[in-house]
Amino acid sequence: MIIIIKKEIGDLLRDKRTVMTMVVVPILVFPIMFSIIGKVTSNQIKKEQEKALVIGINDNGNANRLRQLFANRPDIKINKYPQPIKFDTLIQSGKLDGALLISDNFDSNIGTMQTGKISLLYKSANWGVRERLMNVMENYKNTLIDERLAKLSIQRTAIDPVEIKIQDISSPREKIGKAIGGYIPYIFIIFGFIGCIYPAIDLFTNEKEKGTLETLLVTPVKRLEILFGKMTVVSIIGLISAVLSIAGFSFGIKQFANELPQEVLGSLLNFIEPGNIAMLLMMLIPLIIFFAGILTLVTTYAKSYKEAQSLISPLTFIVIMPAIIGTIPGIELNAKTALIPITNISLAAKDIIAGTINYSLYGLVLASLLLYAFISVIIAMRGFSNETNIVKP
Amino acid sequence: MGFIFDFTNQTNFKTMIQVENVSKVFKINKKIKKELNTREDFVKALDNVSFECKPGRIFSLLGPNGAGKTTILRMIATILKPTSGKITVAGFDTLKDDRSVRQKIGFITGSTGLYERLTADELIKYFADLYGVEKKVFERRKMELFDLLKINGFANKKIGQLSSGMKQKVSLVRTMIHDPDVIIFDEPTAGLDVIAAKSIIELIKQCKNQQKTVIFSSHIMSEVDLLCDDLAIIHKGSLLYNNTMGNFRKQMTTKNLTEEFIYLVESHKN
Repeated sequence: MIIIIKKEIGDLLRDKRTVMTMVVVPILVFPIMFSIIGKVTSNQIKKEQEKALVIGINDNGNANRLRQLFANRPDIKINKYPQPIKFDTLIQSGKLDGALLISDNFDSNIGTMQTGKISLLYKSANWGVRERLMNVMENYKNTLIDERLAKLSIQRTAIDPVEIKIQDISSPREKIGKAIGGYIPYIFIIFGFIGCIYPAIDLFTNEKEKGTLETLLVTPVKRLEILFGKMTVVSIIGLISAVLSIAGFSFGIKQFANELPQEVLGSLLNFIEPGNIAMLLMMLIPLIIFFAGILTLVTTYAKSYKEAQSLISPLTFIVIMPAIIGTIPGIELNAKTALIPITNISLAAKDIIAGTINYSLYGLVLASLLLYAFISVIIAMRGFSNETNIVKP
Repeated sequence: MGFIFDFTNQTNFKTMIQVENVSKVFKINKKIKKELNTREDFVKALDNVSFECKPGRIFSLLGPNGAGKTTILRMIATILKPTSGKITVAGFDTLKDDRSVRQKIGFITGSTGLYERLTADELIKYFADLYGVEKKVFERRKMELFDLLKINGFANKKIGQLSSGMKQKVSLVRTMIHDPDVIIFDEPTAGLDVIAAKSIIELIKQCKNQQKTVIFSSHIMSEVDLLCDDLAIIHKGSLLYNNTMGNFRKQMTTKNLTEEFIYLVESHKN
């Protein structure tokens, strides 16, 4: 078996496709992603914050005080229009960032302690516009309230009978862990799965198609040793791929993720602590053996490279679905969800990142993953022992 | 060429391969049913086939495509299991002692693949390791076979860069590196040019001279005519003829081997 493992690994490492999917992509994707996304996001936010907003106001001769408040802001420019115009078209075309439609009797309503109405037009797709315009109008509104209360000799507390203070006692690590914790292992799971795909096709379907499997079957090596040798190689390469993606992720976080909010960065840095990574790897190992078993069965059954690819494509969705379930808020790791493969890793990882992992449930996750790995190996053995699967017709 | 093989290792059997009443039935899945345009769940590939092969003789298995030649050869090589009947190789039962059988066998087909990313040298070392050939024996045998088949010039080239003829030579070394007593050639010249085919024919002859048991399947009559000592003709999974080539020639009712073969197959169409 060792002879087969050594040969297969050496052989696969000479294949550019395997090296690309196993080494290059997993190790580079996160540093590149973090550096590009970090820079683009921070540049974009900065650009949006510094950009002067251009707005239109249809005030019908009202709201001079409000107009003045906007005019005093250096980051807001008011475009003048001699006659009424369709602001929504101008906003859609990007000529305006927003517009205010002031009701006809605005000033008289304000003066008689009635409500003056303003409509704000903007595109929610344009980041920060609503917040900046509302900021000015909220200040104006608060000033008017204070003036009216003073006029009526009423204290502000009279209209604020209850003060509610909300305190979230979750640590930042916990909040962020629950929010994004499920997505992180999902990425490593996908890399582990993708890492297994090409070796499985190469070592089973391609070998059958090219007739090299037959040359192995006539050697005195036991058929099970051939199977286990090849499955071990598929698992090792899937695991290398997952480990390299973790390494790339850790490197990317340390080197290129400075632009992320401090709370998020802190949680991510916490996640890449050796203890947490070890806990994640302990789950990934049986999961990747499970993948190797399933892929062995499929690639043994497939008669050609094309058929193998078409059978594996739906499997990718089957892998993604439970991983996505694990990211849904409200779904927690418990005795039931700990038994759902892939979902259980996402849920356990959420708790690991949040620092709230229950070790009994973690043990249950490991035990269930080992069971699934064992079942997939048995299934692969049955597939490989089927004569019609392993020889060319 | 006697120096290639160690004669003292030859197993002394009057009958090296014994095939007794072997039948093979394949269970077929939906996909194959569709391909074969059948509703049957099973297909009978071989029906009660018996023959024997002796050391120092070339046994030819002749039959049209789909006759069952490859199936019976794969069963001798333990890749497939008989549904009923028994096969022994050098006294070992293919079902009970399959590893010992495989240790005795070299198996080469016209469609045999090679690992294209390995060099010829690496591939031969890999198979020698799988057959458990000792290092010294391996070095000696590799040198002899590489010299004989003129492989040294491309031994360190990746197999993917070699011509079909060169690849077939590497396949031959892979088949012979453990000095098997039995060599199975399943249409070994398929797809080769005449020069490459000739070197294989020569090798088959040498194997015979070295008292090895050779099974040779083909549908190329000239090759069978040239090499064959014992002949079995197989059609639709059943043996139509099983005797010596000499006797076959004596009982021929047509002008040549090809016509006789066609006559025999046509007369058993139903």
